[in-house]
Amino acid sequence: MADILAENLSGKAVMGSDGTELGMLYNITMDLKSGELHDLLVQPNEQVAPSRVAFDQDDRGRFRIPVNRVQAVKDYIVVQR
Amino acid sequence: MDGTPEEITTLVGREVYSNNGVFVGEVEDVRLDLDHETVTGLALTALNDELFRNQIEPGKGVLIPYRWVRAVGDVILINDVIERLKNPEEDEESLVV
Repeated sequence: MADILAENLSGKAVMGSDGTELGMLYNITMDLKSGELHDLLVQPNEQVAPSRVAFDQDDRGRFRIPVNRVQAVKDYIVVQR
Repeated sequence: MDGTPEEITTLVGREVYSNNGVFVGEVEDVRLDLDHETVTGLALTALNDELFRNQIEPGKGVLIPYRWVRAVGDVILINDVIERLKNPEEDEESLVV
């Protein structure tokens, strides 16, 4: 995966490696000091039952998906699940 | 910069200054390397024309490496090597570090 500008990822659809649509990318968290990336924050689709998804949720119900789960980024962001 | 994770978009729109207090520009976007799980750079616009006049056409932006970032607070402070762009010929030796 080549370097990418964050703006190009914003609002992209996020899909699990099993083909389920999880939601839309809302933001990404990072450590400002080291520049290390932490989690994708994904706004779940309405038809997604969060209880059937193994990822943690933040206080606004967004999935926290560790950046190391990202497998591919093109039309979708594909994450291992 | 206490190590608490922050959303990357908090960087966007912040003013960037050199460690010596020289205005550099404003953050427009953040460059990511997802393989290495790191932020690699900041894309700056609204540049300080005096600093970049000799290198960059007006209206264009620059990408600076994230390792130059020294502090992120109300503004972002970066390494003062950025000031050498102003008079590159004077400082050619010191750029070879």
